[in-house]
Amino acid sequence: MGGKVTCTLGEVKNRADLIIYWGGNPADCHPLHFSRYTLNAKGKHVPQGRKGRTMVLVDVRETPSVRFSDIFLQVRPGKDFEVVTTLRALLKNRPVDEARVAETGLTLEQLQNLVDRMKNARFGVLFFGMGLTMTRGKHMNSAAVLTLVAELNAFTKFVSMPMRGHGNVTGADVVMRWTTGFPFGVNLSRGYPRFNPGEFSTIDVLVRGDNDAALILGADPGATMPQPAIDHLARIPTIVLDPKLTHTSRLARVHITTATTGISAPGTAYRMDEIPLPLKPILKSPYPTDEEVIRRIYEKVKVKPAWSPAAYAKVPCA
Amino acid sequence: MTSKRFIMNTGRTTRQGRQISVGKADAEYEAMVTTVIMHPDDMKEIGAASGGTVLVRSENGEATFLCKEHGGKEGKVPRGMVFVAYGPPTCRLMGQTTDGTGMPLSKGWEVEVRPVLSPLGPPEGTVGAVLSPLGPPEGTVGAVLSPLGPPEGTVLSPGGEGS
Repeated sequence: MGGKVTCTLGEVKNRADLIIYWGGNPADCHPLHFSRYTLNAKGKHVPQGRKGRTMVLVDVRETPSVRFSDIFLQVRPGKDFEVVTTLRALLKNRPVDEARVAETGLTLEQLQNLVDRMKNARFGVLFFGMGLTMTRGKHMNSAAVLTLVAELNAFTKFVSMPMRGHGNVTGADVVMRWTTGFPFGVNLSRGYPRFNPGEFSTIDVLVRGDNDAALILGADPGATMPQPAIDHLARIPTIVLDPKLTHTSRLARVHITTATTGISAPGTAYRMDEIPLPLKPILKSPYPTDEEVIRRIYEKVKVKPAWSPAAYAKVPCA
Repeated sequence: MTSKRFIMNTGRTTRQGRQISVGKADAEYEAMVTTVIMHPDDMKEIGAASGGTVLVRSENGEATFLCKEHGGKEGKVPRGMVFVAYGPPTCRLMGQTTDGTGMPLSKGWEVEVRPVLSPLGPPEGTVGAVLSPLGPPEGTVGAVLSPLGPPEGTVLSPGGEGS
């Protein structure tokens, strides 16, 4: 494990001559990525723009991003970990079984060609998406890619970056990190942060039915989470803060319409390279901001007496 | 007509992302998340027609989708794979545990796909092409007009920006 060797998107724009997208479809999901930061952008050390860069796409299907790539490697579903491990072996001149490589849907020549390009790049970057992190292998796939990139730095400058989703998901991780020390799956019920994915992470808590209330802020689990988690949200008092009615609003007890951050409310959003960007509203909204609603709820909650088992025991049973 | 096992791949599309910002109570969003993209040879093999309805079943649940041949804006899928944009129907099919990672398996799970014979639509109790949990399109207040009606005790303020 080598941690995450990374940089800002500005560095990618100004330096990267080899760009690898793995399990991501930027043409569809990050439509400005090519023009602002990677393929088509002219950088200080890549003045030719697109002509000065090579793009490799690794995916299980022919997404719309294929037509932007110079090399497309179509991996068999569920074989990403094997491909990354083979690349690491080739990088260290270890023997590789050609028949086992063929099971990944790729040939040894294709992978050797990719390794040669990676080693000979001036500045390489590997962007990885949910096609890598949310398939079988999950965090092990991510760890394998991060290790591959760390090991490439024995030969040249190479960095990696996850292709984060829409909205401010990076901001949620970053703020959790600098406030609690952990990026997600944090339990504060004992008054100090405890981190345990699989136990304290949202989906696990909801599927097990551990919580008896939910506050949903800027998310729509009703359209993205497993059905048992959605069913539990419908059973308990769920409060949604969102500028629009969502699937989760439909199953919530209360939906509070808020102003849209970046359009009618100020705020800060973190770019996928974890650079904070201040957002200025350009319109006025009749609705309160998320921050204002949360602050008002907090002020009301603060004046209530703290809950304790002893106090609860004094409530007579019906 | 027959059923066959496939690898289901889910993901986002540009149109879907745009629609998330516009609002999900919209027929276009509904159509996007209830359409399954398939390889034409696979469609032929199971006897499904483009525009027809198929029932997709995983170990966790089932949902109906409209079937569409690959090659459009969504790209192509290899034989043995189907693609669907994330949405309420895929919630029924996806993994329910996270294997200790906090993230369920939401891509690359096995499903069985078979054409739905009934001209009346999907089997009762399935969520998909016909039944929307959101109800009517934008501009209406879901709590009042939804065919499902709100859960008891729901308080809904009018959605959307006033500006």
